[in-house]
Amino acid sequence: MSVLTAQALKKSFGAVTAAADINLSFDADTVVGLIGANGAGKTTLLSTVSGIVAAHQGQVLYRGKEITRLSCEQRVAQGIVMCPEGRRLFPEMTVQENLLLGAYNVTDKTAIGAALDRVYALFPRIAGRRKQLAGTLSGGEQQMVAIGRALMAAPTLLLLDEPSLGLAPNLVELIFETIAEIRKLGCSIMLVEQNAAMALEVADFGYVLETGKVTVSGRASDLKERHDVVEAYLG
Amino acid sequence: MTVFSEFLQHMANGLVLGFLYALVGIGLSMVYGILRMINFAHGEILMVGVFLALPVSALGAPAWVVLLSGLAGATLMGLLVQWAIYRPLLKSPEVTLLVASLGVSLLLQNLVLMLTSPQPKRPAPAPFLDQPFLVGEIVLRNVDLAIVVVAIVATLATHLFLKHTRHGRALRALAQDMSAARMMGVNVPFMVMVCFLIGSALAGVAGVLIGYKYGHLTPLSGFVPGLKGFVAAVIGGIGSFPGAVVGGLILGLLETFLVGYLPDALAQYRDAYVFLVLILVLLVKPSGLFGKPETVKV
Repeated sequence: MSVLTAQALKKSFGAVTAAADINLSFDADTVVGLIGANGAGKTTLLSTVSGIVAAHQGQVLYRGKEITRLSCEQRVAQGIVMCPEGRRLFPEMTVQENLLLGAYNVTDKTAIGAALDRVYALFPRIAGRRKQLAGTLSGGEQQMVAIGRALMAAPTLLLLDEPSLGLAPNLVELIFETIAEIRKLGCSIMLVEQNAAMALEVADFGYVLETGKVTVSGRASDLKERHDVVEAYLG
Repeated sequence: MTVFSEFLQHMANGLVLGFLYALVGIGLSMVYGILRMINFAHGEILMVGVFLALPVSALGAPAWVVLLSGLAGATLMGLLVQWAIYRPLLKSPEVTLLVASLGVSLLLQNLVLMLTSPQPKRPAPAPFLDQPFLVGEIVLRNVDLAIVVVAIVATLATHLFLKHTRHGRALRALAQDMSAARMMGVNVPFMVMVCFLIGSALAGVAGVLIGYKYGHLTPLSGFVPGLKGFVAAVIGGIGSFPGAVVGGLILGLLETFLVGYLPDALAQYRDAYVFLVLILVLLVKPSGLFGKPETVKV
């Protein structure tokens, strides 16, 4: 059964249509890469899946159940968690407090402790900085906290928006290695990336978005071979 | 009385007053931190709290029961106002909320005026609280000590809640980045309610303490404490919790010293000085002591 299905999703902001008619579907334990130019509708798609914005038309199904009208917090409780573009940490809170916020809806203390251990094991670099204010970290460390914070809710579907944006090449590498690690935790990932080559490297499936529609889709390995995709996004 | 003990006496009076301002300022500051809204009805919520506690006091209840009644009364009023008026406006521009709160302020003043009378009231005398005591040459009453103790306990409890509980963390997160907090699964309308609950409870406590200290309560009695709580919050940096506490203490001391040391002809304008301080802070350092410079969010 598919973990997520989007049917004829539409969303516009004022006169600007961000998602015109988006259809996609994928199975559990997959990493899906969404690629496309700025304004193609990638972030809008993630936002309608996370519930941070409501779609005007169309449906979002999660494990076969409709979630289109559910609030953001109801979706987090079901395991759909967003890691937003630009990290959006709480700058005046410590690293640990940011992570604990990610587990806001988890009430089991031992589960929270285990989740913290898991995140610090995944990112040893922030383990030594748990009492430091998040706003004082470097960009790469902030991205680690942002991903870690999303993982604290034990997501089954992680929505990652531009995780490599503005990072040094060695850190980009590290973030992508982590994405490969995260999927081993039994979590599907929707990944929005400017860095299309890296995205298709780590993804199982790829969707190319153009002006609010899916124009090309397929196995990531196949997309890397298609010359129209290569020319437009990988060149 | 020596010059030095006169100074100490002003200092003690100022701190007591300052703790009252802090209790009022915390609620205003927290609401502003989350909704970017100045709740002009905050003082009236305080006033309604005391007026609901007055009958309890008339029944002969001990002061601590009256205090808890004021707390409960103000909390109920605060939640009612939030639920009925501010909640439907949550997505409106901030200025709409501001105007709505002015309306609520006038509504509550006149409603209480209509239901009771403009005659000043006071809680039933509490002989223990009125008893004076001496520290060196300084004269204080037990009620002053009660104000300081209750304010410290209430402030500390709020601090611990904000720092060490999941809802407290969520409140702080909400003030820093509301949409990121939503993404973490924070239920924003619920947390806004919690914020009003805490602020109103502290205001209710302040109201009853003011009643015991000054014993002169009218339906307009919330207005001046509300405004001074606002000035306290601005001095400390509106939106900041420690700022409201420190701002309250500074304002209380400043007001008391000005009134104490200025010649009588000038000392009678005590409220005017408070607003002079507000204007100066807004001119010189609008972000206050602990606040961050306000940037327009895109």
